[in-house]
Amino acid sequence: MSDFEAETLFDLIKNKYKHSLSDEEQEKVKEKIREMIDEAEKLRAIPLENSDEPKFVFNPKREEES
Amino acid sequence: MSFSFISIKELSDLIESGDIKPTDLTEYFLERIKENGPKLNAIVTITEERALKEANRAEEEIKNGKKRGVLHGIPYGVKDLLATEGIPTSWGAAPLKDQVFNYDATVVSLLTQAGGVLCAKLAMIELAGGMGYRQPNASFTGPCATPWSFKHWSGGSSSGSGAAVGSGIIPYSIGSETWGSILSPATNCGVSGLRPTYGRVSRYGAMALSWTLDKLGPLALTAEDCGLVLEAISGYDSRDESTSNRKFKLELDEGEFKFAYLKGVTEGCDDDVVKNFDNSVDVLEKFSKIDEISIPDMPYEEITRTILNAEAASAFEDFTNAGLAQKLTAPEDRYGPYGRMSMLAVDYLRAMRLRKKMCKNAIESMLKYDALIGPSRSRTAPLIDEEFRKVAPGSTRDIMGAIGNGAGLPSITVPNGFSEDGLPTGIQFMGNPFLENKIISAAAIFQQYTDWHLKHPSNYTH
Repeated sequence: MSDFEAETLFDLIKNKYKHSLSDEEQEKVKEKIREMIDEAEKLRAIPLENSDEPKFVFNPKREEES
Repeated sequence: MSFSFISIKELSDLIESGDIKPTDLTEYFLERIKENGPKLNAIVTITEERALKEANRAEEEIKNGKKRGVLHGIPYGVKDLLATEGIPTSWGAAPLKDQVFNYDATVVSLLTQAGGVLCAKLAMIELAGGMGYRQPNASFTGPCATPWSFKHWSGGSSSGSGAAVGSGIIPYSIGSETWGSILSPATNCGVSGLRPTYGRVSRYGAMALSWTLDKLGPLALTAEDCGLVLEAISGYDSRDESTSNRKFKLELDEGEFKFAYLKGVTEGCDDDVVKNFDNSVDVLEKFSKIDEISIPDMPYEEITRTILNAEAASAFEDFTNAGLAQKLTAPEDRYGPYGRMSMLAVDYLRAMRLRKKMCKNAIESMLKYDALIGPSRSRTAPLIDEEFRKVAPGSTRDIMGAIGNGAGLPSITVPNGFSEDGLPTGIQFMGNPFLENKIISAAAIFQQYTDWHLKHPSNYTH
């Protein structure tokens, strides 16, 4: 799955930025995407509950409280 | 008389007693900056006009009995990612070398209010390393050298902040750390460096690399000096909603301490780093109890790196889309940001959800201890013309860095010895959130028992 994911994401980046990257650079970008997916898979392997919230708080404030 | 390598406290005493005037002190350091800063590639801009104006003001105020505090009349430098009104703020990046903001960053404003004298904008790795650099030559000002060897790198990304203090051309500097960027140059340059708790110091006016990982902090000659600077720069700022209301006041603790180190913390480190750390533990045992502990197994580095990758991709999205990355210095920085642009939102959010568990694990593990100790860096300064990631294939793990930065924990590094080839090593004390006094105190006592912080490179001692 991760090869397919890496290829798909790389195609997205390649199509978006093809004018900015040489062939050699594209290979390195692909490598980076693979690394990121490998890392993401380690995180995906840890089950989470719906109640596991992200570590940030959105805190709307009224103007006078800012 | 030489004023290099004199602590902030001592310089302040000299000013108070009238032995030196702020203008003379400023002129002294401006000369040192001009003489030695460029040799190290440590300087972007010498802020001479502003420095002399601030020094004159300080002198007048002190003469009239208005003393603002211990930093009054003391020269300093800031990493060139901090906005300074009317003076270029380059972020270390060639395409931005003429960028000018019309305001001061909060940290700079606070230091001005404290009577500080801004002498220089200091060199840094382009965009604070946000493009994925792999070598020291990743700044439009060139690779920055450690004052201990022109052949070796100062560390980064706060390269100039470390080199300037380590060479005695400035008493203290401000750097930033997202992951390693204060501890690395402080260690490589043989000085003390403090990464405060996330939210201690306002990030307003500082280039953002990663909004939830960036911290600003001081580099100085001693742990105590780091604490004195933190007093001046910490506090709530409405322009940075991450800042805490908790104000920091330096209070040094002389009691007995309890430290811990993670099992395997020296694995993969250079032999000299291990030896010096072991020697440091012997010193610490004179005033503390030390345990070896383990922390629950989690992919801490992957969590923090995913957060960093996602936030950096977003922070520099417009920069990247404008094609500006292609004008950066390091070849790998020119294509570096593109891969990150593929990060899935759910992966970033997963990392942020796991971050909560990471924080819980870290804080629970450290609850009984004043600090987690470890080597500040696993290796001494790499060669200045070599890819440093190549030199350490497979990368030594950096669990303390991952947890420390991911959980927003404070850490202070102080020198703890040298390698066989004369390069400095450091020990870090990483503490619980908002307990900087504990780690600064521990490091200060370590500095009472040792004299590593009193050793300075002979090229720069007069």
